[in-house]
Parts: sequence; C-alpha cells; structure tokens
Amino acid sequence: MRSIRRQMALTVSGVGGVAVLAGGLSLFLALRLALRTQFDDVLRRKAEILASASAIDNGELEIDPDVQTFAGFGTSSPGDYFEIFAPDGTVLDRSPSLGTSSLKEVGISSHLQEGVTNSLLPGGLDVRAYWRYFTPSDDEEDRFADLKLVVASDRARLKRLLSPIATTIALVGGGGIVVILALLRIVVGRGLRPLDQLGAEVQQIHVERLSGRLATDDLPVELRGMAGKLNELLERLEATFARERRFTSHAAHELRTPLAELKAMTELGAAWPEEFTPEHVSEMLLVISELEALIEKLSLLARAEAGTPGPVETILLEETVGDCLARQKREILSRNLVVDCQIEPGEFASDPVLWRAIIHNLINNAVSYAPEQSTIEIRARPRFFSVSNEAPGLTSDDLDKLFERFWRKEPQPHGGHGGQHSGLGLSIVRASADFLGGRCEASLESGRLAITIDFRE
Amino acid sequence: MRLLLVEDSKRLRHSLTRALARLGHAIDEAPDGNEGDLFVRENRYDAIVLDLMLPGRSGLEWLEQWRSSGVDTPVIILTALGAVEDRVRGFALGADDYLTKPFAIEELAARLEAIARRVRGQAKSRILIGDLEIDLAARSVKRSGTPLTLTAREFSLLECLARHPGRVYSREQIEAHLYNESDSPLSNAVDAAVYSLRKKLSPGGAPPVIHTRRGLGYVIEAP
Repeated sequence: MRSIRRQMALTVSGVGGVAVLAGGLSLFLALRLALRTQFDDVLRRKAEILASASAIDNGELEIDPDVQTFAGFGTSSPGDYFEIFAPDGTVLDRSPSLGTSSLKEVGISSHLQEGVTNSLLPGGLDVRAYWRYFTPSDDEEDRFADLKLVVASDRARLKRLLSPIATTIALVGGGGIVVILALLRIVVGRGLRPLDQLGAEVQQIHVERLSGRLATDDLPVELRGMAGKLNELLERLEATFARERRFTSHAAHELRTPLAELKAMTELGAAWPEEFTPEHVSEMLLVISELEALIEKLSLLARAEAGTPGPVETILLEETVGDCLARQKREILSRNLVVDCQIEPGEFASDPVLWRAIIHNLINNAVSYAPEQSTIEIRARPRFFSVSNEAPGLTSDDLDKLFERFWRKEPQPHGGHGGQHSGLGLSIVRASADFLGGRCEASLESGRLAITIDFRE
Repeated sequence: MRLLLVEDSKRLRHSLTRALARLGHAIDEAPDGNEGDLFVRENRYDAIVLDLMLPGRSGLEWLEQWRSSGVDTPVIILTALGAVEDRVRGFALGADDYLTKPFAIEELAARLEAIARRVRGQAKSRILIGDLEIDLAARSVKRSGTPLTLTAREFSLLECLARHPGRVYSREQIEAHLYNESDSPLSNAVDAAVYSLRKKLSPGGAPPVIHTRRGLGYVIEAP
C-alpha cells in the first residue's frame, strides 16, 4: 500500500543522504587539492633551493651538503629525494636517500620546462615528483646547461595526511545522515499529523451519523480547502440520506397501511362471516380503488422520471383547465373557495397525459389545502401555468421538500380523502415538467404558495 | 384484556376493534395521540396498541411522554417501517413489542397475550387451578380433561380471575376488564356473567371453582 509518509521520508532521506555524501566528498576533494598544492609548493621550493645552491666546482656540479640538509634531503629525511641529470641522462648528483632507486623516468616531457607528476619508481617507491630544467649560475663554460632536476617526496606522507581527514568526513557524514533521517522522521511526522487527524476524522464518519463535520479551524491552509469540500459533500449526503429516509418512511406508510387495512378487514370477515356486511365489502373495494389510484400515480411518476416519451398532441389550455376545475367543482363550492382564473387562450403541442397530470394535480392540491373561503389564483397561457393559494402552516423550509415523493406537511389519516393525497401529486408535477423541458418552481410569499410551470426558456 | 388502540386509519382501527372484541377483549379506540392520551390518563389498560405515524405528534413521541409520566402499561407499536433503527429507537423509548404492517390479527392477539403473560410473570400460557386447565394462547378450557365451551366474554372473565388465583376481584375491577368506555353494562351484568361462567365450569355437578366473597367480590380457587 502506498504511504505518503514513507514516500516523503524515502525521497527526502535519499536527497538528504546524497547531499551529505556530495558535501563530504566535495570537502574531501577540496582539502586534498589544498594539501596537494601545498605539497607541490614544498617540492617546488626545495627544487629552487637546490637549483640556486648548485655550483660548478673544479668542473663538477656540486651542491652544498648543508643546503641539502636544510632543504630536507639529509639522512634524517628518508622520504625526500632529488636527482640531477645531464641532458644526456648522466646523473650529476642525487640525494643519498634514493639508495638504489632512480628518478630518471620522472618528467619525460621535452616540451615543458617544469611539471609535477606521480610516479612509481622501479624500487617500488610511490612518489610525487617535481621536475624542472635549469642551468647553474656559474657555469661559465656552458657545460652544464639544461640540467634536469627532479625533486620527489614519498606520497605516503600525503596519504597519511588525507586518511584521517577522509575518516573524519565519513564519520561526520554518516552520523549526519543518521541525524538527518531521525529529524526527517520527526519533521515529516509532525508535518503530516494534520493529515493523519483529518484521515482519522474521516474514518469516523458513518453512514448513519452524517451530522458531524470535519473541524477546519486548526487545519493548515493546504488541507482547509479539501476539508471544506468534504464538509460540503457531507452536507449534501446528509440531505440526500434524510430525503431518502423520508421517502422510504412515507412510501412504506402509504403502501403498507392500505394493505394492513385490507388484510384486517378480510381476516375479520373470514373469521366471523357475519362481519361481511355490504358496507364492509364496499369499504374493502374502496381500499382497493385507493391502492389502484396510488399505483397509477406511481406508474405515471415512474414514466415521467424515466423520460418515456408519449404521443404529442395539441394542448387546448382553456379546455384542459376548465375540465380540471369542473371535476373539483363540488369541493370548491362546499368549501366556499373563490377561483380567480385568467387564461390567455392558445394552443401548443405537448404530451397530453403529462400536461393533464400537471394541471390536475396543481388545481387539486390548491383546492384541497386552501383554507375555506380563500382565493385560488390560476394564471395560464401557452407554455406557462401557475397556481397559487393561501398555505397557512407552510414555511420556507418546507419548499425544498414540497416536491419529494410522499412528502406531506403532516401525515394524513387514511381513508379520509379517498386516497387522493398520497403526497405524490407535486412530485408528479415536477417530474412531468422536467421531462417536458419546463421549469417547475415553488415560492412562498405573504403566506401564499405559488407553483409555476414555465416552458418559455 | 382491557386494551387501548391508537390508530389513525379508521378502517384498520375499526377492523381490529371488532376482531379483538370478538376475541373477548374490551377495547377503547382513539384516532390520534391526543384522544389516546385522554384514555391513558383516565383508565388502566392491560396493553396499548399504538400506531407509529399519527397525525401531529408521532406514536413514539406519545410513548416517550407516557413513559416519562410513569405510565408502565405494555405497548405494542404498529408501524409501516421495518427498519432496525426505528425498532431500536422504539424499544429504547419503552415499547414492549413491534408489529410491522400488514400483520395478521391472530398475530396481534398472540403478541398481546404474550405481553400480558410477561407482565404477570407467567412464562407459560397454561394455567392450572385444581382440575381446571386454562390455555390462554389457544383460548380453551378443560375441566378434568373435558373441554368446555365458553363465550369470548366468559373466557375474558375467567382470564381476569385466573391471573391471580386466590385474589379477590371486585365487581368494578371485573367490569373495567370486561367492558370498554363505550359499553354501558347493566348493573348486574358482572353477576350474571359470573353466574353463567360458574355454571359452565362445573359440568355434571363438579365442585365450583369460582367463589363469592360477600361484600368484596369474586375469587377463583381450587375446589
């Protein structure tokens, strides 16, 4: 499994380790260069001393032994050597420390006047040597021109200086890497702690307890946006789950209660046949009719939600509204309702079943829920329909739930309205309007609920 | 048993009331919680059958109120919701049983019987008083192994007395058990019912098991 912590630790540790190694190596190389330069300078100075101290005496090249000792070629300095060659390769002088070895092979480079090089001598000596050509100052007869002077020192000396430096750098570097790794672990751990806390909080979220929200105040800015979005998502999920729970609850109530009624009525008649009176049987038939109506509504809703296209016919708005009002006439009269209906005549093509469902449900709803002696306003023109009525008790919070399937402000007693108000009417209206490409909106102003279906956009 | 049924569906309420009355129970019915609450305050019931989704306050809200005010009558919740969390919430608030709609009347009657037994502390549905054997679940009675036929009201009377053999029940207590709020029994209805039951429980001149305690009431005891 991928781990951000591990990945960050490995990456940063790798980079840190390479940086420490590179630093250590650079330091070592710089020190080695400095030591070698110093080493070479010493060789060069010794060569200068030897060259300047060389003299021709009785036709022979000689160097004062004291100068030799001063320059470090005495018997007490076994690691330092020099040798002077005539242009024909004849050895003119040499340090006693050379023993049987020779520096003849060093500095074979005819086009250069001087140079420094490492050399492994035939006797097994590993030296760093400086060579140069010179002519003694008192060579009046010009017999000793272009002599080659080679000055060398044992490289082991240089190595002895570099070795503890390399060891120290390696130890410090290694320790540094360990310390860096430990620090990185702490720093990465602390840096990722808010992410861990956020992860733990997210893990505690349960589908049955969506009311909790992630704490964002103490989060670093990098995580605040994500936590905020998660909170928004939780809010939407909570609302969706609450809506689904309400739907399940209401659907179960609407479907199971009539079934329970029918079952109880049937069992009563079956156990005591004298209970099967004509009134009892007609009541049973009424329950069945209500269930049929409910199934029809569900079927219509399913059709509208599924978007199954129906036949397109010319809708005569005035006729359709008039027909729906006529069906509600008895209820309108018995409740002394006033219907203010303004229709701009016109016709348009649409699905007649869904349009009738929209108009019928909106008018039926208004007639059923408007208080007695109040006014229902109907405004209709081609591709526009609106119904408004007084809605005491309805609040703006209810508007979001108004179109939910089976939602009602209060559970209605069963058998009281002939099953007309199952809470499906407005959900059918919205689903039908959506399917037909219209917009269905509800608003509540001054205690009046207005539901508008608009197809003009 | 004396029962209260709180159910908003008129048809369901009516059918259950008729069926349970025919089974010998005395039932008061209420269409909502407000009316049910009035009944609960005025009467002592053996059990309450309470619908969950009532107009206004829900059945659970009424149950919570009753329990907090000290009403310990067993309650069976009727609900269209079968979700576990709803049941758990109901039990947490003090419901004794749950029945999901649609249900069989027989099952409701059996659950009411079981609840009543539980309240009485009787694990079994059979009560033995001497050679009198009463099966509350099967609603049958035998005397010395011979089956006896009782009406629903006679069985309900026997059930009332047999709950606590040896305990004297007053006429008022018996009347409250046998009749609901809307019944208007005659003043001697209890005496007549006891007379009829006593006669049926002593076939062939068997010694009586129901005895009269003058001025106090009636008691059932082994002969």
